[in-house]
Amino acid sequence: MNPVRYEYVSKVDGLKDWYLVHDAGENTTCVVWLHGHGSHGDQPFTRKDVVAMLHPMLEKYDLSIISFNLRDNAWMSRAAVTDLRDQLLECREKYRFSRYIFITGSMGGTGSLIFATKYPELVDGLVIGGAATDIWRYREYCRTSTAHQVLPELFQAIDEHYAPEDYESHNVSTHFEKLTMPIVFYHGIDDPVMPVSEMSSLQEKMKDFPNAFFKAVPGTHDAPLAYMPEMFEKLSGLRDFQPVYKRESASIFPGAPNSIRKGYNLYGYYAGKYFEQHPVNDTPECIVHARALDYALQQLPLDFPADQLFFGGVELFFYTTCPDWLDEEEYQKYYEITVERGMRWFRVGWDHAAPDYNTLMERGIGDFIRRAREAKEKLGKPESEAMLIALEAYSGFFRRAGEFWSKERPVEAERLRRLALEPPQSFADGLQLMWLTFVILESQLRFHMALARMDQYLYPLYQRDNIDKTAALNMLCHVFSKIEGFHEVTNICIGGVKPDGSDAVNDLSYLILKAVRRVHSASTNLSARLHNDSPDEFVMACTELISTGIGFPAIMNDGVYIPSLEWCGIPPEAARDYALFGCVEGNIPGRAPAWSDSRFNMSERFAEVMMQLERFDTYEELWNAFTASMSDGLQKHLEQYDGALRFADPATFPDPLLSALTRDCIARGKDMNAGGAEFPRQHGVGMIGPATIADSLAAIKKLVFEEKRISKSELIAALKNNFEGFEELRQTLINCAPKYGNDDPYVDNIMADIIRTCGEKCVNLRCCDGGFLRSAMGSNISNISCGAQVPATADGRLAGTPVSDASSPNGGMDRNGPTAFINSVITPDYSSQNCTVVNMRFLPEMFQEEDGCRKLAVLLKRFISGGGHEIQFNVTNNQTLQDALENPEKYGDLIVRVSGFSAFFTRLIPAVQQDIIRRNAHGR
Amino acid sequence: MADEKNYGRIFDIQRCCSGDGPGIRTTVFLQGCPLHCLWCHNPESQSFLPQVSFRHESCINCGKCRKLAPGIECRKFPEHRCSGCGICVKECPAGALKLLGRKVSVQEVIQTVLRDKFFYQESGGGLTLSGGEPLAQPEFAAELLKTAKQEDIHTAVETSGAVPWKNFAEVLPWCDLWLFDIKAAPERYAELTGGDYALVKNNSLQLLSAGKKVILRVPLVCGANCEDGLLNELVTLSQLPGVVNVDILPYHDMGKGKSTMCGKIEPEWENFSAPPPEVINFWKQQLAKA
Repeated sequence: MNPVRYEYVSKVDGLKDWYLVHDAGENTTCVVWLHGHGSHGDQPFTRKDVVAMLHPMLEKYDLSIISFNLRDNAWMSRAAVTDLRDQLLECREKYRFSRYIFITGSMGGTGSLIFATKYPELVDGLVIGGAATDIWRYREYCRTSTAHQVLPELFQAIDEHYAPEDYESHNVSTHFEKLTMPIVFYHGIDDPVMPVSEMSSLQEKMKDFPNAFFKAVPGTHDAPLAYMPEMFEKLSGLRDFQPVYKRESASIFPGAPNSIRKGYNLYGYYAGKYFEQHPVNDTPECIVHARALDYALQQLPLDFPADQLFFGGVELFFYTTCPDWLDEEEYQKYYEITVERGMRWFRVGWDHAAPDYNTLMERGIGDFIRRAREAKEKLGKPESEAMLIALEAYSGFFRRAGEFWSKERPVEAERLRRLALEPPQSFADGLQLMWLTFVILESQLRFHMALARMDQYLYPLYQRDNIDKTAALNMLCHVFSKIEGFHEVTNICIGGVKPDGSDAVNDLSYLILKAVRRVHSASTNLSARLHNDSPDEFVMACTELISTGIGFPAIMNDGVYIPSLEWCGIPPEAARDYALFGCVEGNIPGRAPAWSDSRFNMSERFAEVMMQLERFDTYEELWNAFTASMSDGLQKHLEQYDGALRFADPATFPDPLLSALTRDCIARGKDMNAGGAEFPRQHGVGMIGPATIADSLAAIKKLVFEEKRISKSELIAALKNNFEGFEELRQTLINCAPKYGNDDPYVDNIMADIIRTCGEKCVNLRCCDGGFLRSAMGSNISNISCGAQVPATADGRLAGTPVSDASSPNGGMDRNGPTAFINSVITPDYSSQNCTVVNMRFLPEMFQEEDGCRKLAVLLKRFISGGGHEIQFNVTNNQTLQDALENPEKYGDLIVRVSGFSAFFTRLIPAVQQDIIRRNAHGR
Repeated sequence: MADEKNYGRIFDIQRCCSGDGPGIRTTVFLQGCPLHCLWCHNPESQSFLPQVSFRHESCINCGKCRKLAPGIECRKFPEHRCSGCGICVKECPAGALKLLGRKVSVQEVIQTVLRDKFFYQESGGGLTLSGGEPLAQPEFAAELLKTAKQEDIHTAVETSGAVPWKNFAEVLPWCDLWLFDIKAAPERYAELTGGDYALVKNNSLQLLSAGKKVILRVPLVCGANCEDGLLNELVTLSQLPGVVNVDILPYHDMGKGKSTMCGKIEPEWENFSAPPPEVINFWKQQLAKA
């Protein structure tokens, strides 16, 4: 073997250094050899026993090798780390090696472990023949032990090359979490130079890492050398490590979200107990409510495991089976009291919201308490006192959690105690504050609370912390894996613009994409805000995650969402700070009443109008009749909704905690549902089945009015009979009239008219509390239940079958390819809508080509520049879905995009499964 | 004649294609081909005359089409009975009939092509003419490409090369990228395609010496043209200046279903198959080294 010597100059201090390289060819695996103490970079080519062991192995596996002289010592000092990194990067470019496997021993082993904790992305595998894993502890050993005569010399060398601060930063045993690559580590049992306990202590710490393998072998310091070929082979059998983030057990509820969890909510139990003991009397209800919260948070049994990085999860307050100390009947009784008296509900504003995370991160809980105290002094209103009590209860829970964890997790406990009042100082602080706040709010029987713009409000902490990306990713994964346990639609928003209009993408935006991918939960409902100047890299990162088929992220267009919110009188700076809630609803987090919505079955209304077809001589008359019936229906809808709002009078159904955490309730001394919030309420009216109506109108316009191919009476008879005996007519309706989604202006313009009308009809409708009725088209899965009420329609649809979902083209009707699809869905003006959903489906083959993601990015670019509103993707083929229906046990992990949310396919109800299968898949 | 320039016969326009040139493209498929390759992927495209294809699964047996035309013969070969009027297609309620080789104007085609202009610009895509053999209607092809260039759209032509050079010359100024098929080894060309290899080779050389960018394409069919003779010829050709790449297109049997729709079945197809991955990799390696 004739290695080539390559000389270089250290970029740190100009030191002249060198390495030896044997290049076995492009794309080979490269062994990285770091010599031990007292040796040099030529060790693998000159030391006889190393050569005897190594060279046959290099030949057998066709390996390249680089042996670094690395400053002519074996100490992985800061300069050495930098030099090694620089050279490895350069060599990758130069020689095009496919992987770096470090094969090292003794001090080389120590150094390679240290380097791997610093640059894990450059280390694809580690074969360690003995190493010291805690450099301070080893230094002390060398200083005090007499087991070998080389130890004093080693102590001198360590002391000389490591600065005091290096002992912490270069300590493998505290940074072992970074060692995610495959590792095989052998150590001589009787090694006097480095005690075997150096290996076994790391082995203990890494016992949950499936790709780290440790073994003590007979012999002393050099014993592992002979085993290196065996170790290398073992390494190849280990896979790339994905950290095992424990996901919560799946049994809580099947199918789509929105169903109430079946189990025992202990907040409901304790709060109900308090309410029972304090029947309604002169005390203002808001104060009773706040005290009930206080009581429940103090009584809640804390049984949280100590192996978690962050405190809090659904298991804190929710049990799937009845605990044995809890009496079932008593639980039912108190739980029902809470449901009756102690909470509002979605329809009238209760969840689908987020607290003022911006202020929480900047100023901490203590600031809210201080302001609440001042307001109480100044205004003297019961709402002020209620908010103060609620805040103190919330703060107290942090303290309580801290005390609970003080023995087992002192660092995290100190954090919790501090966060009870003080602003977060670090990224981990911020995550803990965000997460426990979320858990407390959810415990109050709220569903689908959102985490809002995590990449914005956590960013200053992330930056200030100067935290390593891998560590940050690890923390995000831990939090996201807890989300799965709630089995809800937890919206997380990234990207978009800042309040000043400039692009908001940052490091966290990318890390959140990575974390969502790793955790593979159906509940982390990631929403990516895009605008015309979104960075290309960000768009590509989104397409890459989309291409995996998980359905995340959904894509939101700032260019439509922001004007849509300004439309309610929200000023531009605030509108730019919007986040998504639940599926796709747009609102300003922490500054407005909670989002709510209801369903308006406009397809049913349309079908009724269609039955009177004989009355209309022209298409325009039909259209006018339809729009008139919309006005009619919406007026009734508003009356019903106002009735619900009045019933849910905030004096009877207060919300002191979320109000306290929403601007400007403290300053105004008002509940968020009684005018305390900075911005007005938006109540969404979910318009069901617009594409069904568009396709039907297009068919009638063309075939009945223009071509006179079908007579009115014929059509009505066919619809009344659900097409029985009218198959030819039905086929004509399906095949001989244009369908939305194919870039045909004839029907695309009709769809645009429908959407515009929905917006127009809501424009003057104000709720009794001054809120807005907002048109929306994100029907969740209601297109199925609403379709059950709708008779046969003129697009050829059979009675009782699902109507079109959200604002997407009718399932399977888009046949002109992806560009035509995009051209169609950008035709309408969506700015009058709070939210809409377009589902698009691709075959996995599209992303097997190398430019599949780039193609999707181009489609998205057009979508954004053309005024599309929201779009989200499924990447599946029907064979997979059919197979999943027949063999669900093989597809437990398959996640699909349903509508505004993702779900595990095998847990969906059959009607929803079929709805997805019906959707046309683009790409060949 | 103005008619030949402004009108032509096509059988399909496919939007958002990949594989017919770079980026997102719209491919216009011109009707008619001088060759009759045994494995043809688009057998319905060979005739220069209009014909109507029939999709059996969609038919609801309403019988409307029988009443309109001289009879069911209307939808079977020999094609010369079809006038291309398209009435039966329009009248079919089930969408089971499709008119191939319909006459269209340049304007009509370009209008469709223009709808994706944004996508071409952002992806480096454009318009591709294919078929059939697009250069068998040279004036029409030239006018399509010229109009596209006027709209600043990138153009590509996919050709078998088996037409007189003057057809190339007509189109030359308006084509940015050539996708040139080499269908078989010189000694087997006539047998497998019905064409004259010398003509094809000559055209490729003239194209290259005119300084044009050419990608050679090879539909590789096991049991037909997958032989050393073809590989050797390709290696030679690939070394010529101007040849950007050689694309291997492994055989797939989509053609069978389409043929049934036109009333044609080719018995030889039972012997054709996609070449195994090792063979494809070997060919790619050989061509890369050249």
